[in-house]
Parts: sequence; C-alpha cells; structure tokens
Amino acid sequence: MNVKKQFREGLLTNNPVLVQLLGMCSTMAITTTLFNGIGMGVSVIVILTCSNIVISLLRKIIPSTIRIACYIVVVAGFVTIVDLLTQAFLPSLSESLGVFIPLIVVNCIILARAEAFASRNGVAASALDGIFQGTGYTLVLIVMCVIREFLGSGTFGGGLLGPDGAGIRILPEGVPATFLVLPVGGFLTLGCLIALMQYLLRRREDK
Amino acid sequence: MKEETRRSGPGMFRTLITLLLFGAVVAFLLGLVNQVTADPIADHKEEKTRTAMQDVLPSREYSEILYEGDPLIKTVYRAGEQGWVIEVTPSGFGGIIDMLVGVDPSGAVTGVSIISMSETSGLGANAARESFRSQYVGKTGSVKLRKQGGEIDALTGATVTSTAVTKGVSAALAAAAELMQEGGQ
Repeated sequence: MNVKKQFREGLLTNNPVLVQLLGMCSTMAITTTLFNGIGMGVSVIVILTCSNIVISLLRKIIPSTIRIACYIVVVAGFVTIVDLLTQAFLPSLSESLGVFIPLIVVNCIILARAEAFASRNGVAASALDGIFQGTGYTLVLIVMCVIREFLGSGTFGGGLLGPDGAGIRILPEGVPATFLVLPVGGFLTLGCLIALMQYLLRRREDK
Repeated sequence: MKEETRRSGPGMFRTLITLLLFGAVVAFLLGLVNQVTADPIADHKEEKTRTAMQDVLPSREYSEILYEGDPLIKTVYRAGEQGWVIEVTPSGFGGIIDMLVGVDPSGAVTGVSIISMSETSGLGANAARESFRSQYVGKTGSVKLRKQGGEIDALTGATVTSTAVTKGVSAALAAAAELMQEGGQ
C-alpha cells in the first residue's frame, strides 16, 4: 500500500474529473456557487469511501457475473442514506443540490472506483482511495465554483458568506457574464481546466 | 444447451441468493434511516410552508378550506379575517413551480412566495428574488407581463418563468374572487 502514490493520483495525476474524465455531468451542473460545490464534494467523499469499503469487504463473495448489479445496490443504498440525512439535517443543501444528490448513484466516479480499485484491493487501501479520489473531485468542484461564480455572478462564497448567504460581491452587478453560470459556462470552464491539467502533466513528463 | 444448464445450475442459484441478500440488507438499512429522518423532513416542509405563509399574508391562524375548480390551484387557506393564502402550481421551464399567493379581502395581492421550483439557475430561478416578487403586491383582477401590455417586468426575454408565475398569481386572484362572492351571499 502506497499512501503517497494514492494521494498524488487522486488529487493530480489520476484526478477523477480532469484525467479520468468521470463524473462530468454533476461537475458541470452544480458548480454555480461555492456552497453547492463543497456540499456535493463532501457527499461524494462520504459515499465513495463507504461504498469502496463495503465493496472491498465483499469482493470475495460477490459473483463476478452480477458484480455491477451488486455495486449499484450498495452505492444506491449509501446515496439514499446521504440523501435522506441531508434532507433531514441540512435542508438548504438538499434544496440547492436538488436532484443531483440522488443522481450520485449514476456518478461514474463511484462505479469506476468500485470496479477498478475496490474490487481488487484491501479495505484500508480502498478506503484511502475513496477519500483521495473524492477529494480530487471536490477540489475540481471548488475551482469550478470559484471561477464560475466570480465571472458569472460576480460573487465569492455564494450560499455560505455575505448577506443572506448570497456571497460577497466582488464585481458590480451587470458586469458578470450570466452565461457562465448556465450549462454552457460549465462546458467552457471544464474544458479550459482539462486542457490546463493535460498541459501541466505533459510538461512534467517531458522533463 | 444441456451443457449450459449444467454449468449455470449451482452458479445461477448462488447468484440469485446473493443479489436477493444484497437487496434485502440494503432495504432494511434504508428502512432504519427513514425512521430517523422521516419526522425531521416532514417538519422542515411544514415549517417552510408556514414561514412562506407568514411572508405572503401574516395571520395568527390558517385553516385549509375546500376549493374545487381551477386545476392550477392546489390548496386554499383562509387566513382569519386577513384574506386567503392560495397555493398554486403553474408549470415553468423546469417543471412545476410551487408557490403561495396571499390575497386580501379587497382582492389585492399581499405577497408572493415560492416554495419550490426547478427553474434555470441564474435566469428563471431569480423569480425567488424580492425585487421580482414584490411587483405583484397590490395587483388586482388579472396580472399581465409588460410584453402583453401589463405591468410586470419579466425576468428574461423568453419570459417562461415570468409567464408561469404571472399565470399562477392570476389563477389565485380568480379563485379569491370566487370565494369572496360565495362569502358575500
């Protein structure tokens, strides 16, 4: 088990969003305010870690023919638990994330990590994988949120800071380009981030 | 064919049992979680509706009254002598907009509040803003967007959300007018 390597892979060299290109739908859909990004990120870390642990524990008894079905049952179970808990104890979060919490079930990151990592590795390594890959996803969400919120709404920390949680206004009203908080802005921001990441990784390889 | 049955015989059985067990265990756990969360979730919903009611038409008590007619209207509450709070559900761009409209006994809007909606964030979702909602306050009869010769400034050029909210307010006003006539007789 190589903690350092797993850490670096999850956050940078094998980042789920920017390198593996997984979970792009939620990445583009919810990154409009910082609060959404952090909420979604934490939910995914929790679900990914739990499902990785359980799948790693059960990897010997799951018949390979129905493994995907079993993974989905486990993942769906954890997603529903998180969904119910946020609805009960963090209602404002569940409201602003809406349907995207239940949709974590089909977030490819979770199934991909179950198949590629948890089903082949021990419990501790799988748990770490969940935490690191989840953190990698969360970091991308936060970067996307900060960029899109700043350029699209002209604020920082929407849903968390400022009056009524509307965020701290940096750009005056009317200046920001609203299209950046729309889906098209998600595509543009994510595209630029992926390009930047690939450029940096390639440059490092060349050295 | 024969070979295949032999091969999948015991395997098939194990597969079935495993999947069944997975489903049963997960369902049981979810049942437990649901028991813990069901009450808080219901409380939040109720509290939210209550706050929204106070927001559109403050009153000490609200009693649900029977109203049948316009299918846009979900529930009607009588707010003591202050008037009515009417829950309407017009369709916006991203599905149903669940909103409350307060109407005073003279048939004027006292407030509009949105309970839930799935409009586009940054565009239609701005309907929740005070500056948009407050345009409806004091309106009587039937409300229209400026584009249709009315007085409401739409949120966007496409006016999908604005049209829906306006339709909801008009429906609530019409229902209140009906209730007023019934009350007067």
